[in-house]
Amino acid sequence: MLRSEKWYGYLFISPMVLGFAAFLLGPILTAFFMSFTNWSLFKETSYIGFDNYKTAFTNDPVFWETVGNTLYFSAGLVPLNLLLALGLALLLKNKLPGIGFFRTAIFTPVVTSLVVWAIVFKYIFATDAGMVNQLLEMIGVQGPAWLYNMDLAMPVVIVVSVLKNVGLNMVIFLAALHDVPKMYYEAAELDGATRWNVLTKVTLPLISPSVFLALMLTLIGSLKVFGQIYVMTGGGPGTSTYVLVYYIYQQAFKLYEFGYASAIAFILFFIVLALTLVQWSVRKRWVHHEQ
Amino acid sequence: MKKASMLLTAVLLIVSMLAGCASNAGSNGGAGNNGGNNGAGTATENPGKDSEAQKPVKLKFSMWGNDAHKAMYDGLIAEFKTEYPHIDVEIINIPFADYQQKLSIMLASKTGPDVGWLAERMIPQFMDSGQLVDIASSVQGDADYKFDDVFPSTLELFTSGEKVYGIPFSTPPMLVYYNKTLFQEKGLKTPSELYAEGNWNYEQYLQAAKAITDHSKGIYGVRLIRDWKNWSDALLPIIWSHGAELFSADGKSFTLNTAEGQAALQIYNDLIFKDGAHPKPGDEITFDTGKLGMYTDRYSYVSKTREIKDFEWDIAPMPEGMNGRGTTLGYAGYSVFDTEHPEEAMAFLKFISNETSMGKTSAFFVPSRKSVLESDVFMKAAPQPSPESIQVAVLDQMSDAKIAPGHPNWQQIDVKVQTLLDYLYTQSESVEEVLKRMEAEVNPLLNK
Repeated sequence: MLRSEKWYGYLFISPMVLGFAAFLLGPILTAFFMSFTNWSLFKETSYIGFDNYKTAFTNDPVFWETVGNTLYFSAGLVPLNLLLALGLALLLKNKLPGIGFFRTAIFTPVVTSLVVWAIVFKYIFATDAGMVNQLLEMIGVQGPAWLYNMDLAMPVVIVVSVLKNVGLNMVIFLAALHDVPKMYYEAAELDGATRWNVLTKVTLPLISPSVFLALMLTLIGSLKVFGQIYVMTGGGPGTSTYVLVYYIYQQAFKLYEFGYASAIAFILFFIVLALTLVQWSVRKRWVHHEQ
Repeated sequence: MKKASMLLTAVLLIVSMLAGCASNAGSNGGAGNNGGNNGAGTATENPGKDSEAQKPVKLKFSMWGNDAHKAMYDGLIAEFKTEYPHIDVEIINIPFADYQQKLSIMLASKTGPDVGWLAERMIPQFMDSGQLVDIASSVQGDADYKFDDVFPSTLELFTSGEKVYGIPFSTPPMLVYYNKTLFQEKGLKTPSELYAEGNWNYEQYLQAAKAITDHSKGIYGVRLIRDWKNWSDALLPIIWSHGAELFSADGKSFTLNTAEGQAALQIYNDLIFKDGAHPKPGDEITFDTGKLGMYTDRYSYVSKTREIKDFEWDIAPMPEGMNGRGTTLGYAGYSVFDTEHPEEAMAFLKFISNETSMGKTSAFFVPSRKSVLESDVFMKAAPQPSPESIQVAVLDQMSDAKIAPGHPNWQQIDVKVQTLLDYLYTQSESVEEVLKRMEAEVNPLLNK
C-alpha cells in the first residue's frame, strides 16, 4: 500500500521533473561547463579552467562597471517600487466608487508586453520630439537629453521599470491588507492611535510576510533586468546602463564569446543565490507574523 | 477502480510527454546529422543530381528588406517555382541591425538559411570562417548566366583567388535626398542646381542646413544618420570627403585620430549641438515626415521616398569636401551558405541574379550588371526620381564611389566605436578626446 502510493507520487511529479531536467537542468549544467572553456564562434574550443572568472574579476573594467550599474538599478528600483506599491495599495484598498477602474489601470502595465512598454517610453523620453520635453517646453523649460545623458539614462530606466511593475506588488499588498482583521483597527482606534501609529504598529507587522515576498521577488527580478535596457538604451550612453544580463547577451550574441558569457552568467547566479540565502537567514527578524 | 483510472491517467500523461520529447529529439537529431554530413556531402552530391532532382526541397532565403522588397521577392520566387517545381523557397526577414549576429548564430547552430543577402562588412567574417560556398564553377560554366556582364569591380569582395563566394545585386551610392518644397520656400538653390553649377560643396551644404532649420516648426536642415546605432554608414562619406580614413590600408591600425578625422567629426558634432541643424541623438525624425531639409542615405531608400505625397523631393550627389565627395558605395550580394542543398541553393542564387531578375530588383537596387545598369529598366523603373537625377546622383558617382572597409572582427569594432561615440552624443567629451579613446581601444581589436 505504502509502496504503491510512493510510486503514484513519483509518477505525478515525473512530467515536471523530466521537463525540468531536459529543458532547465541540462542547459544550466552545460552552461556551467561552458564557463570553463574559451568557446567562441570562430575559435577551437579548449578547457581554460578558471581563466574566464579571473578575467572578469581582475582584467575587465567593464565587468565591474556592469556590476555597479546592476546594483545601482536594484538600489533605485526596489525601494521605489515597494514604497509606491504600498502607498497605492493603501490608497486603493478602500471601497470607493470606481475603485475597480483605478486598480485595473495600475495593474494593466504588468500584463503589457515589456518591449512595447519600453518602446513607448523611449519615444516619450526622446530628446527634442519626446512628449516629456515637449511638455517642458510649453512651460518654457529646455528638457535634457534623457536617454543621452550619462547621469540620467539609468534613473529614467528605473522609473520606467517601476511604472511597469508596481501593479504586481500593489496587488500582493492589497490582498494582504484585506486579510488584516478589522478588530485590530477598532482596538487601535479605541486606544487613540494616530494614523501613523496604526500603519507602523498594526498594518506593517501584519502584512510583513507579503512585504518580504514582494521584496525578494522584486530584488531578484531587478538583478535580471534586460528588456527595457536593450530597447531603451542598448547599454548606452557609453557603458552607463550596462547591466549583467545585457553584458551577458552582448558577450555571447554580439561578440560570440560564449565561454566568457557563461562565466558571467554564473557569477550572476551566485550573486542571486547569496542574496537569497541572506534574505532567508534574516527572515525571522523581519517577519513578525506568519501562519 | 478509482486507483486504476488514476494510474492509467498518470501513465498516459507520461507516455504522451515522452512521446513528445522523443519526436522532438528525433527531428533535432536528424537536423544535426544532416548538418554534420553536409560538409562531406557537398562534394559527393553532384553525381546524384538528376536522381535527386525531383525530391522536394525547401530552401530558406534570408534578407533585411522592407515589405516592398519582400513582395518583389515573393514574385520572383513564384517564377522560380515554375522552372523548378520541386523547390520551395521561404523568406526569412531579419532587421539589418541584428542581421550579422543572428546569421552567425544560426549558421553555427546549423539552422541557418541556404541562400541570403550579405553586406560588405559581413563578408570577411563569413568568408574567413568558411561558411560560404564557392559558386565559381556554377556561374562561370553557364553561358546563359552571362557572368561576364557583372562589373568585375563589384565582385572583388566576394573573390578569393579562383573562388567566387557570391554575386552582388545592389551597389547603391550614398546620396542626398532633399525636400525641394522646403528649399523653394526659403528661396534657396537646390543641391541639384548647385551641383550643376559646380558649387555643391560642404560649405553650401552646411549653409543650406542652417538656413532651413526652423525649430518653431520642428524642422531640421539635415540628417546624416538613419539609425543612431549605425555610425559607419552615416559618417564614412564625411570622413572620406575630408581626407580621413577609418583603418590603415593593411587593416591593422585605426587611423581616424588625425586632424582630418577631427575636422570631419567636428562638423557632425557642431551640426547637432552648436547649430541645432541636425536632430539630437535619440530623436527619430524621418525624411518622409517633411521635417528634414536634407537626408543622406543609399539609393535603396527610394522605396520609401516614392511613397511621399505631401511635398516634392529629389536626389543629388554628396557634397564635395577637400578630398572629393567621399561617396560610399553600399554593397549587398547573394551568397550560398553552408547548406545541405548546395545545388538547389545555387540554382536559386543564379535565378535571382540573372539579367531578367536583376532588372526587376533594380527598381530598388542599383544593379551590378552592366546590361541592366545602362538600360531603361533601371532608369525608368518608377516615375521618381527622374532619369536625369538618377544619371547625376547615381550613375555619374559610381566610378569615384568606394565600398566601406570591412574587417573579420567588425562586430567588436562596431560595438566599441558605437559605445565611444556616445561620449560625443552626451557631450561628455570633446571630439579630440573621443578620437583618442577610439584609437586606444579599437587598435587592439584590429590585431586580435
